[in-house]
Amino acid sequence: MRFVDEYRDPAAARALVRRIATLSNGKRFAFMEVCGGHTHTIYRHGIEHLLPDGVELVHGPGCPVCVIPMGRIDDAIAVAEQPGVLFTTFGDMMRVPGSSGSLLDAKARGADVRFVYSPLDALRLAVDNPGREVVFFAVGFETTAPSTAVTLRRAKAEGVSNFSVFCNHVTIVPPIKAILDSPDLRLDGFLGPGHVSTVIGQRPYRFVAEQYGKPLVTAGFEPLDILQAVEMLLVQCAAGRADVENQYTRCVVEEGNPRALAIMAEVFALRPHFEWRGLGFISQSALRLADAYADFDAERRFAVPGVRVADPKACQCGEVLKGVIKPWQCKVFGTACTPETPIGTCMVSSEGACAAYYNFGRLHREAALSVGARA
Amino acid sequence: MSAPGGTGFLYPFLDAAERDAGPLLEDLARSAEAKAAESAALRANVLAASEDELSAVGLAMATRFDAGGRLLAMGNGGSSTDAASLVTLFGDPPAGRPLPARSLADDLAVLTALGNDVGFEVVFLRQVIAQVEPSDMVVGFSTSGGSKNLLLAFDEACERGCLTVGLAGYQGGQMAVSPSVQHCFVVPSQSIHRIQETQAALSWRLWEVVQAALRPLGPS
Amino acid sequence: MSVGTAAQSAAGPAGALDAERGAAGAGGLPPGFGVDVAGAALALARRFAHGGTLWCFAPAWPAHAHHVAVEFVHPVVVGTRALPAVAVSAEAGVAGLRTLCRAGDALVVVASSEEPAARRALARAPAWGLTTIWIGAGPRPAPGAADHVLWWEGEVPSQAAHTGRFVLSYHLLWELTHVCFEHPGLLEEPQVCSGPACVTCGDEGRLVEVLRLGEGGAVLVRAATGLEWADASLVEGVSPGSLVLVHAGSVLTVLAEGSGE
Repeated sequence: MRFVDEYRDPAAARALVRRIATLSNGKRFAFMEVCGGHTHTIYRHGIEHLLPDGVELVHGPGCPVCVIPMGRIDDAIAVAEQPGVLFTTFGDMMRVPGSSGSLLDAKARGADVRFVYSPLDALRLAVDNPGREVVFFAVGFETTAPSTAVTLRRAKAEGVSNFSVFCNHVTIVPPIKAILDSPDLRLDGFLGPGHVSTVIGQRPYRFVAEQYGKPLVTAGFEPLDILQAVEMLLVQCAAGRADVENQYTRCVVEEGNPRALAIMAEVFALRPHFEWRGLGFISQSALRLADAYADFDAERRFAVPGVRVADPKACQCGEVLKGVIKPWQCKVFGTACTPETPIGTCMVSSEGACAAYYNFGRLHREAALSVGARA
Repeated sequence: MSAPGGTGFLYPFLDAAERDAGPLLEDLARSAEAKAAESAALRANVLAASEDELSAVGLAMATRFDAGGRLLAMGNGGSSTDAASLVTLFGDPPAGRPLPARSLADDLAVLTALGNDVGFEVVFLRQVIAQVEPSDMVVGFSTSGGSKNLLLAFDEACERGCLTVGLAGYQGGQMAVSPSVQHCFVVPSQSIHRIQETQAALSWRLWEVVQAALRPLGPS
Repeated sequence: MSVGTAAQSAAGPAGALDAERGAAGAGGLPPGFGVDVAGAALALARRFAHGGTLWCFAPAWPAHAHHVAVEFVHPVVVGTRALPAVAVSAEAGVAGLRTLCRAGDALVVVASSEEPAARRALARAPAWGLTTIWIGAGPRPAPGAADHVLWWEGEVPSQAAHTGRFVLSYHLLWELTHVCFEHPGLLEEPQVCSGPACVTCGDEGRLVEVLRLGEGGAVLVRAATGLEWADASLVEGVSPGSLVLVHAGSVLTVLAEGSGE
């Protein structure tokens, strides 16, 4: 248990690993972690190497950067390259490839593209640069959408007219449902996203247990959290139960954050459908700005091409995101597609399943291949 | 960057290139087990050998507590914290009756005043002179058995009619032979750590005997 | 993995020492304790090697905090170096610790899992950037309550505090920490991360402590990486000392005070 020595509370981790081995009892289980943060923790801390052979973690579509389709990147670059625009974005978005390069390439060509940590930083840039049109590339799940909403409400209250948002917020529940409806998938349960749940609470996941008969355990982001959540899933499986449970009680409460949900309802409206890279169109899975905030909608303020671009043919991000194949089983993994020259988005963000696997897993690829062969 | 010239095996501590903590952690775990086993064996031996005297001292202390006597504990460094632990155990016990007990190393104003103005050898002695009554009990912890400030305080306390109890290590040092230390429990070990661990166990046993021997409170 | 012995007293805490007198030579450590104290010692040695100070806190048994500190500051073994360790009094408590400690320091707590001040301190330690070691007895703390948990599970805390269990625990910690200094190559912090994590895709949520309230819903917070401003308009009941979770500049949730989890 070499990895365990570096965990928080290794003694508790060792006890959990033993419990997991006993509970799984040689049987096969596949659990999907839908959140990219979990994928990152699992790779970074070698958690897969601690689990019994039969217990498999399937990496879901939980990286909001990875699922942004190429056409939206092209739209963002088109906005960024308009005269007078100061384009702001979270770090990892900079490198995501569109059909002709990334925002980083646009920056090299002369566009003013800047990295921000918070949408509020983007608003501050607008206040400080009244002669510029500041646009924020909003991306992220329900965790991040409240920050964007707070920012927009403040922009409106303060009458900041040179600020707008290119909204690409997506929601986590629709893809979970899409995955559950997918015929080629066999999952025994889910690790629910931790920080998304601080906002939406536990109630939205009930359909997973009630309609699909799968257990879901909301989990935190320490290795110990993941192990404990896997143990809780196995306890449910052993008892033949399917409930929504909460491992991450120190941060997640049943009802979520009502204030955040209220401000999101005020600022955003559901899009009828949205394209997810690799997963295709999923209905009611993304947010746009509500009509009351139309003045701040970059899609209305600027002409965007809005052209749909097909995913690269060689790339199998879709199958990776659905958990149908493992990253190393993709035709271009590690050869044509690497973190330095990504083809698919899963290789771009360090939380993407492919990049995480490439960065942390390649040393163990031989071992992993033999596990994969048994799968 | 092993030490040059093939001397790496002689001076492994010069080897900063070591990266795998696994072997070290295994060594450390084994070492911890071995030390704990040594500690447990020492404790068991000393408790067995001391049982009769512990019972006698405990009974004598109970009699003094019943008569209104107070417990005063002292020690230097880590031993001062062991004295403080003893005081907490007697004064604020997990069960049984709280008894008057305090540490002579507790009051920093008194300690630094005496240490600065007179000398550290008298920090306990001067407090004994000023405060101790014949019915009191003075308990001192010293792993070497040779702490001068304890020995001076024991002399004065003994002279005043107090019950004096010492807990020492090694061969007991001066405390083992001083007539002023009426009862001296010696933990025969060369390790200060192992000595202190067993002294804690002796303190606990002493407290158990005292609690069992106390006369019930109130008019009979 | 576990090299502990099964020689735990079956007589229960009250008769622990009585039973032990009949079992001379028994190992006496709880199962796995040796492995746990080894890991804690290496982590502590790494903090010292990088200039960290060890803070010692034992709110219910202050003598233990003082004993740990003097152990490191004034070593009993010739040739071992004096290390910065300081006892924080029960009176100074969490407030004193907050003011004194710096990111990169370590904190050893000697307390039961029920001790409120210990739980408050340990819950905040990640926001302060501390490596934490919790020595205690009785019911184990919730998983992950400290970086290293050195526990005497089958014993009553108020007894273990006086029978030498805790003294042995921190003596072992001290002895093993000094062994680690003979292995300078292992004192570098392990490099497990390769590259920056993204705020959004990592679903980042950082535990921080609120230092003071600013204007317009802003709060100044203390994170392991330093001070920063965050927006707290999405949550209620934030005050100085609150532990909160920050994502992309917004406070998303306020943690229950000192839950210790």
